[in-house]
This record gives sequence, structure tokens and C-alpha cells, in this order.
Amino acid sequence: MWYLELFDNVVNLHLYNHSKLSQTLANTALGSKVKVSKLIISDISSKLLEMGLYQGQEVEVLFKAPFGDPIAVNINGYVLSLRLNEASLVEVI
Amino acid sequence: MKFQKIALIGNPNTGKTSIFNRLTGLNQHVGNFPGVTVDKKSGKLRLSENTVEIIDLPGTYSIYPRSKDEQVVLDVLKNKNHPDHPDALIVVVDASNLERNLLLFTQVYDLQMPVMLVLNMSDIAFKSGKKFNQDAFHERFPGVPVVETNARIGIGISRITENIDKGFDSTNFEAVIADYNISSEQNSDNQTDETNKRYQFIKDLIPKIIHQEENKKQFKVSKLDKLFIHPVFGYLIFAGILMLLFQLIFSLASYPMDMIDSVFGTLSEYIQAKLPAGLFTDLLSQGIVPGLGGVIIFIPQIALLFLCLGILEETGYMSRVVFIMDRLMRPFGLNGKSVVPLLSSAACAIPGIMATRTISNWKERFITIMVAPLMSCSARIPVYTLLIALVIPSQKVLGFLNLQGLVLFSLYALGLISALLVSLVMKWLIKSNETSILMLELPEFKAPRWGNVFISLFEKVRVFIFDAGKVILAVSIILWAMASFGPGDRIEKAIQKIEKPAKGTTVQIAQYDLEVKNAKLENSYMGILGKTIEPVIKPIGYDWKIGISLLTSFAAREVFVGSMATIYSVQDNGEINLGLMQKMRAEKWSDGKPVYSLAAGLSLMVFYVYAMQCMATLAIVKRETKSWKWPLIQILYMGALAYVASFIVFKIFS
Repeated sequence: MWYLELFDNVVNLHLYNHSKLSQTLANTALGSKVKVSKLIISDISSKLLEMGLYQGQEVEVLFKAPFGDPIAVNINGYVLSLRLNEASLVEVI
Repeated sequence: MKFQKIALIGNPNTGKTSIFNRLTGLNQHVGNFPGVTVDKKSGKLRLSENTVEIIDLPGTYSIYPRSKDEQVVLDVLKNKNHPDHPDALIVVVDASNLERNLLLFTQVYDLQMPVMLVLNMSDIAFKSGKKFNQDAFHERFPGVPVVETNARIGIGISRITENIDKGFDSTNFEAVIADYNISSEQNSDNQTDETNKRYQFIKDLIPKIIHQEENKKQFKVSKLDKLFIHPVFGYLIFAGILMLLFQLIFSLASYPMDMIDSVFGTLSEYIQAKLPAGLFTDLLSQGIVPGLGGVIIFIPQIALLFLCLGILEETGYMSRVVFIMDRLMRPFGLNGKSVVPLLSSAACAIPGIMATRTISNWKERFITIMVAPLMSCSARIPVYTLLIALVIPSQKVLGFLNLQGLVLFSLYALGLISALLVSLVMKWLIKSNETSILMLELPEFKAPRWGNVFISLFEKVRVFIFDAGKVILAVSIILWAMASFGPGDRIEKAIQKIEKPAKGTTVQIAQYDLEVKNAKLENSYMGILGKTIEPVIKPIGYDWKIGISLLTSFAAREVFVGSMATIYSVQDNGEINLGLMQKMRAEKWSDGKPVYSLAAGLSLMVFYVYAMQCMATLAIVKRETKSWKWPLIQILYMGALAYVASFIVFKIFS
């Protein structure tokens, strides 16, 4: 059910924030500026790339929607909103 | 070389549509690309000697397709035999965001077609200290004319026209990526490699073509954004804007709608009175004229809604709504972009369904279209009002709540909840391998460009009248024929049986006319069909009289009230009809029990929550999905839902 999914999401978000495995756009703190290090291969990789998230691109997390998802980032002067599961495919340093 | 056909291509939010509108004005045409649901927008640009057809391709970030609908851009560009294959291309880019925009430009350039580059909003880019070096650009792209514009205020448009008139050729060229071969295969390593190479090229190119003073602007989240996406105020503001919007639609649309209603009513009467009695006169006055009226009557609501939506879209607010609603809609198989179409459907499903175009994901768009008519639209209000007044006592619950109001509210809530639950079911039923993505640009807030708002409003109205209108008119004529003709001389015989007042008072004559009208309907094919289905609808509490009204109100839900008035031989005076209610209350089954019991009344209300009683909506679903399959599925599933739900309600309350 949808509320379970919502709950899942909160848990996942919590995990994202605390995982030391890899930093992705999904667990980057608000206001921090990072660089894209790698795109995790998926069926939306090319879309992410087309939106300007190529390796070495500077990204700043601007704000988040009320439930923490989606997030809005600044890429080279324009604002892109993307869902957490999309953002979690973008590894950053 | 004189161009015959030129296509505009560019990222969303670059002002491409503004440029298209500036070039073609109202001289636009919406057509089809074969096999897909995206519309083809084209227009004519008059030059000194010839006329050029301008095609506005759907906004896209890349020519690599992600869906069948996006495939169309690639097909048009690559396939020289495609009927819409252009002679040249104009790539519109947002000058303040060159890096991402030039990706599409280099892809298009490598197709070896004549290309022009339009740098839109360059004055905004200038403000941040940038300057475009055309010489450096031409060193790399010799044949590509560059025009700087501000489409918002119309600067630079004449230079685009001059260049089209002169002609240009960029095909004698050095490709950005040699051996460029686009395949439809998605996410291949080749595609990723190629895109990365293009970005590398662009990163090297930009310092040469852009003279940028060293004042890199610090990006600041605007105060408006802080407010619009606030966890409390964000939703409150959205609710407030919605309330304002509905207020506007309900208060303003009713005047022109009443006017259209009375104009067409008068026209019908006039034709009936002036033309010689006969089949043709009846067809004209009872079939065609009311049918046309049934199309026109929707225009005020559609126009007002798209005026409001257009303003919200143009200012950039709409993408913030999508942003804050996406998380809430996703579990139901919907998307943040489904919110506005669904809520618009609470006024009328037609503009709601037309507003689903912005949903790029096929599955999410179809689910939104399928459930939109479950939202209680304004046409249900007369039916609900009549039935509530009939079976729900006017009393207070919990000391302050009006029971009648509570029932009305519950019907609205039932529609909304059902829409979400049906979405959930369809999410499981409809298979799609297209990943649901959001990835949406949040444009800066700006004042609406009124030209764009009105042109898109006209386009929507035009699409409704000319595409859906045909179907609506055809169905109304069929419905009229079914309600006017009966087998053999059945109708005549029935009329003869009614005692005609020889020298009656006007009241008696009026009553006679009403009874004749009733006899006609009762003995027509529609009436016979209504009686035939009685065994089917009896388990949910309806007699054949309701049966006939269910059938006639397929034209539009509110017709139910008028049909009931005809069947009970009372004047249909629109407002709460006391005469009709008296007769309906007195109606008894053969065993003496009243027909309009609480159970039957509630069952009928629930039936109207679910049943697809609106041919105009079906016509627009067909228009938007480009197939009869979806409206058919819709009418069947909603009908089944209506029957089962009404049955349950009837059993519980009787």
C-alpha cells in the first residue's frame, strides 16, 4: 500500500543518509556543492546525461519537496528536479 | 535554395513555442503524426515571394527517443521520405543555459541538414556578463546562421525570417562526431560515449564562443520557491489557488453557458415554428441544433480552465505543483503531473483529459485519462441535487452538519477516492517497460506571455470543436433518432389514446403537450430499450422510467433531469423541480412500495458517480488516445463499477 511505500521511503532516506558505501545525489545534504563522479548504469543513464549530469559536472542541492522527495538541484545555472531513486543513480564526490 | 518546410526543434522552456507563435501568429494548424499520440503543430510563414510551412516539433533534450512518441522527432528528421521531413531546421536554444542546450544542437547539426541557431533570451544572458562571439562560432560551424532573439518581446524575429528567405546551408561540414549513426537502441554504451564526447566538445567550445566576465553568479533559492514548496504553506497556497480557480470557473462560466443554452433553445423553437413540420425540421430543430449546442456549451469551461492553467504554466508555478505533489501521487501509478488534470476534472473532465498532454510517461498519462471522469464534474450537480432533495431528509447531524450537504460531499469524496483506487488497480494491470521518471526543469518565475496563453487556449478550443465535436454531433443525432422514432405506428397510436382537450384552458393544452411528449419518448426505440433493460436494472432499484433516463443521459449527465421531467409529463424548469419531485415521490412499484426509496435514491447517486454518462468525454478520450480502444474500455469498466457499486448500496440500504 502507498503508506507502506511512504514508510519505506523514509527508512530508505534514513539509510541513504547514513550509508558510508557511496555518496550519491540522493544523500547529499541540502546546500552542499558536489561533483558528479559516476552514473550508475540503468535505463535512465542517458536521460540523466542529457540533463547535464555528466562526469565532472558541478551540482548543488537547492531544496527538497515536503516528503524529502523529489529534490531540486542546480546544474550549471538551471534547476532540475529529480526523484530520490533517480538521484541515487548519480554518484558524487 | 528556397525552403518549403522548416522544423523548429529545441529543449523545453527555451521559448521555442513563443518563436513559433511569433513566426506564424494565429495561422496555425494542429494535425497528426501517424501512429503516435503527439500532435503535430504547424503553421504558415509568409515571405516576400513564397510561403514556408513551419513545424513545431515537440520539445526535447535529445533526439535519442525514449518512447514511441519521442521517436517521431527522430523519424521526421532522419527519414527523407517522411511526409513531414523538413528542408531545414531551426534549433532554438536558451542562451543562458548553453551547455545543455548545445547538446541537442550538435546532434541535429550532425544530421547534415541546413541548420540555423536561434539564441533565445540572449538579453537575459547578457545581463549576467556573457557575450556571444559569432565569429568564433562560425569558425567551427561556417554555414550556420546565428540569430539572437528575445521572443518574449519579439526582438530578432525578423532576422529569423530574413535568414529563411535568404536560405542557408550548413551541410558542407565537419561533423562533431564522425560516423554518427543514431540507432533507436536505448542506453547503449555507444550512446553514452557519444553524449560524453559531445559534452567534451561543448566544454571546449564554450570558452571560445562566450566571452564571460568573471562574475559567476551565485545561485540563490528564490523566496517564492521557499514559499511554494513549503511543507505547510506550499499545499495551502495550492489549495487556495485551486479554490480561486473553481470559483472563477463556476461563477464566470455559468453566464455564457446559460446564454448558449437559451440561444440554441430559442433557435430550436424558432426552426420548429417557422419551417414546415416534417422529418427534416425535426432533425434540424431536435437533432442538429441541440447537438451543436451540446458542443458549444463546453467552450466557456474549457476556455476558462485553460486560461487559468496557461497562466499557471507560463509563470512557472505549475512545475512547483508537480514538484510537491509527485511523491503523493506516485504510489497510485500516477505522477505529479496528473494532479492538475485530475483536479480540473472536478469542473469538467474534457479540459482535464486535454491537460494530460504534459505527462510524458505513456502509462501514467493513460491511467490519468482513464480515471479523470470519476472525479465529480459540474454536470453531475443537477442530478445529485434532484436526488438528494428527493430522498435525503433535511436534518442536522452531530448538531451542526447538514445531512444533505454531507451526502453531496460524500459523493465528491467517493469520486476522488475511486479515481485513486482505480489508478492503483490499473498500475498493476497495465504493463509498460517505460521507466517512470520525473526529471523536470523548474524554470524561473516570470510574467506570463499572454500571446502564448491565448494561442494555446484557442488551440484547445479548436481541437475540441473540430475533433471531438464531430463525434458529439453524430452521437446526439443518433440519440435524437432513437428517442423520436418507434417501430411502426406505435407512437401515433399512443398519442391518439391521449384525450385532447377540445377547448381547454392553456394549462390543459400545456398538459396535453407534455403528455404527447411523454408518449413519444415512451414508445420510441429509446423508450422500448429502457423498458427492455428493466429486468437488468431492477436489482439495483430502478424502474424502466429511470432506465430511459439513464439511456438518454448518455448525451450528458444533466439530461437525466430533463428526461425525468418528460417521462412524468411535467415542465422542465431547470431549478429544483417541485412538480417533478412530487410525481417521483408518488411513484410506486406494483407491490405498493415507493420506487424512490432511500436505497434506490442512493443507488442512483452512486451510479452517477461511476457511470461514463458523457459522450463528449468519450469523444475527447478518443481524440487524445487516437484510438477507440481506450474510450471503449473506459465505458465498460466504469459501467461495471457503477452497476456493482449501486447494487451493493441498494442491498445495504433496503
